[in-house]
Amino acid sequence: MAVAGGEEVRCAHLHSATAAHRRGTPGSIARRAEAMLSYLIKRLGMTVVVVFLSTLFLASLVHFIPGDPVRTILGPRATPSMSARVREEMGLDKPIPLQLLDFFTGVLRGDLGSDFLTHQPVTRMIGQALPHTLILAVAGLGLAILLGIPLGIYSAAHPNTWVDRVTGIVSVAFISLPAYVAGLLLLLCFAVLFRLFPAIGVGDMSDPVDYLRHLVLPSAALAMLWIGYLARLVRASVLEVLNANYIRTAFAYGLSERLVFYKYALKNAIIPTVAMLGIGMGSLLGGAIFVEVIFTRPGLGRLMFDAISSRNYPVVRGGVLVTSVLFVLANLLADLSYHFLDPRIQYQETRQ
Amino acid sequence: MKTHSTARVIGLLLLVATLAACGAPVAPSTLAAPAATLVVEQPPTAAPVSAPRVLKLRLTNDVSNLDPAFRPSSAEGQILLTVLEGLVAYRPGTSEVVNVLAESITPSADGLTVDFKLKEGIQFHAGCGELTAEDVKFSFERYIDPVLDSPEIVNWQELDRVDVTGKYTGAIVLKNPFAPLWVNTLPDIDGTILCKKYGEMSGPEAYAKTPVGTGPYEFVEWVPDQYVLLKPFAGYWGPKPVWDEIRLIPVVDDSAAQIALETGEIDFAPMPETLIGQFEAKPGFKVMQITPFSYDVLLMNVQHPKLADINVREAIRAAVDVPSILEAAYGGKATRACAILAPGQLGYWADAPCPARDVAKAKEFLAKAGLSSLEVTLTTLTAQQDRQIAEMIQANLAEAGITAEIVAQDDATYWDGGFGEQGLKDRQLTLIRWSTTGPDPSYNTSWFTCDQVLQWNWAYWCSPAYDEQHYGALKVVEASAREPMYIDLQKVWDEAANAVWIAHPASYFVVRQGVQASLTPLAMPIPWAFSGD
Repeated sequence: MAVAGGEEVRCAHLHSATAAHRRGTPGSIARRAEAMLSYLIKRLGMTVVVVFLSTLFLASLVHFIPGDPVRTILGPRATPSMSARVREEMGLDKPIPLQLLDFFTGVLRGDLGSDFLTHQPVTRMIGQALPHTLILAVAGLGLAILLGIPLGIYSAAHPNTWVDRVTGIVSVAFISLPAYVAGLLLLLCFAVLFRLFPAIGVGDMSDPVDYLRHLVLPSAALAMLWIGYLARLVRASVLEVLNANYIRTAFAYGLSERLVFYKYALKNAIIPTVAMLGIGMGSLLGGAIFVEVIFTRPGLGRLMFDAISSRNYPVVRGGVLVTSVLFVLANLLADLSYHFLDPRIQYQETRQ
Repeated sequence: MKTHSTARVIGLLLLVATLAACGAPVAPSTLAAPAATLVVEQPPTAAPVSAPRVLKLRLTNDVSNLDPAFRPSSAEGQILLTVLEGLVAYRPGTSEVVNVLAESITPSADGLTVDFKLKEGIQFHAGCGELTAEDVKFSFERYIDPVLDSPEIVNWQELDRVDVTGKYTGAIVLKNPFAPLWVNTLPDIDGTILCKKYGEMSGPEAYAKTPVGTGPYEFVEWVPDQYVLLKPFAGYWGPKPVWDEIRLIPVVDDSAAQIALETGEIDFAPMPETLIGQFEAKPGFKVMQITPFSYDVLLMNVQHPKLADINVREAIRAAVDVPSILEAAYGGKATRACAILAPGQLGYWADAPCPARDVAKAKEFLAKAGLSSLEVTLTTLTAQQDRQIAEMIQANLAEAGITAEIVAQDDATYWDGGFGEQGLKDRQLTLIRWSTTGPDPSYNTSWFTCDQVLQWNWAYWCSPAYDEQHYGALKVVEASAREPMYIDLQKVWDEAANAVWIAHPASYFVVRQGVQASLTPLAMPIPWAFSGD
């Protein structure tokens, strides 16, 4: 690092003090590891409970929406006797609690049932659709982080200037734009007008460049809201942290703005953002439905949308289960990351 | 705070993204297919070098079951019409029935037997062997197999059996004469021939995933939510297929389909009327308008206490301004409907009354029913045009003192909501837009018989006289004898005043210049018959 000699000494002092605090004694390290393991086990247990309850609730809910899947499958020519036979074959003549019990016992065996329409295993259908959604959500989240955080930092670094105001307007505009509308605008601009990117499909997965080109616009549509949101969140967090005593102390030591900003301020300011990213993953999975429809991409969102529309209960149940697991795991990962960002955050309920 | 480095990083990222985007021009969606879609004409002195010709069609929904006996939608129908063939078929773009697999096909005078002789040497796809009369027997008799329990049995309801008299000869034997056989059944999907051996080898459920026929294109693969791929069948007995590939791509959203047409990622798409205007003036596109025998109608639940009095129903009929609805909701492009059957259909009632709007008369009818005002519900789908029609009807009725509450429902709720005792109790006025899948008039009239009450008869109306004409006309083969029966049936319906007929709506398709589309008389695309410039 190219700094003055005195600053380097003070920097090294601060570093060594922090590092020593982090490392701790062997005993405290063991205690922290034990605490982390205990926390992890508890959270995984809670994960199972949350996933079970949310799946139970949502999978039950779809049964209360009017609409008969048998009529969708058989079409208008189905006679009452045909409908009754198919209903029995699908287990739809059983009471709803029994249908759900059959589903959950199947889950324990790794069997999510079969699609009403195509008789394909739901596991296979989700297995084919999920990677596309995960790639889309991760790409969207990545784009949001890549653009939103620097935008927020830049705004915080230039508070109340025209730069800050412009980025504020842009951020709010992005937040206000639903993924569906953003998708259509991007399509009209970059696919139709400028012919830069394809409009529909996922491309050829064996050709990474082609696949990535098909990913750009959908992930941008998905990311726009979160770019704006992260920009505002990071800006507010950084500005708050910059007013803290320890930051003033660091400046009083004569440390450079860049060092104080990125090493000390941002690390604490980013914690609320990390928390939101866990929720953001769930939001992105939900927003993926609209993007998958607009861009005609396969994915879990579109699968669920079609399944709910046609009352395809096994696919709905399986999709809800998988989505719940993903959402809860994303939040768990976000929670686990806090300690690494700020060692003061312990895994135990009470502070040591 | 100096954050020039942050700005530089952002700028660099944007530059990289822009450079990546400004790479090769966008080809139509490749999906592992070559980029070009049309053959490029070469100078006569050069050796012909042509890019693969790929036809890309929009499906409005993904396929789910490719077994013709269980096909749920027209998406499957398009694929089946390309992969499978029947003894006869409609000549593309016409209502003329021509021989396809049959060298000869002759009905008996009494209409109970149809003798056929197959063309020899016709091969099935997938190495399934030669087409024989056994395949015909298998393909037709499966519709009446109680174990299979096909919902499409209605088009083969009078089939007794198929006799095989030789390797290529046989006879279709009916229990009673069945007029729709030559209109709905044999020339359409229910008359297509499957390879019997394929089902024996792979199980009866195999047809749901892989239809094996004799058509010019064979089924290659279905990637859910992405495409169905068809490729030319090398052993096809007929003219060489035009396209190197046919891809049918499910694009559910109409706006996305519009954009995909403009970018060239699809060549042909059914489009709603609301988006057609954007293509009509645009160079590089053609708009096709076809009026199949569908109908849009406002049905009245005659068994509901509020609508049981015929005077109330007459009041509603008098209050609705159908010409204005046609102008506003259909852009003036739909044909007004005044009865069940459409112009051009056997049994079309040219003299059907098309009442003009008369609010004073509507109020008189209401007064005869002892009412000065009335509240009803009007159930419709949530689609834009449906809601628009419903809102216009609501406004019309309001002037006559009838308050209609619009109940807009999603597809599954709407289509299920009219069934059973609950439907009888809940439904009052229902706006229904019914697409026919068979040109025979019996398909249009079959939904209003007594046995369809609590099923699809959402007027919940039962008339033995109507039923007599409908079922009687099925057994009469001569068109000249059937026609007056259908007209009488429509008169019976009209006297009951249980509906306000609105339109025989058109179907619209957008096709890129350079592609010639071909459709059945009922506006179903026939991919194999598409050609390119």
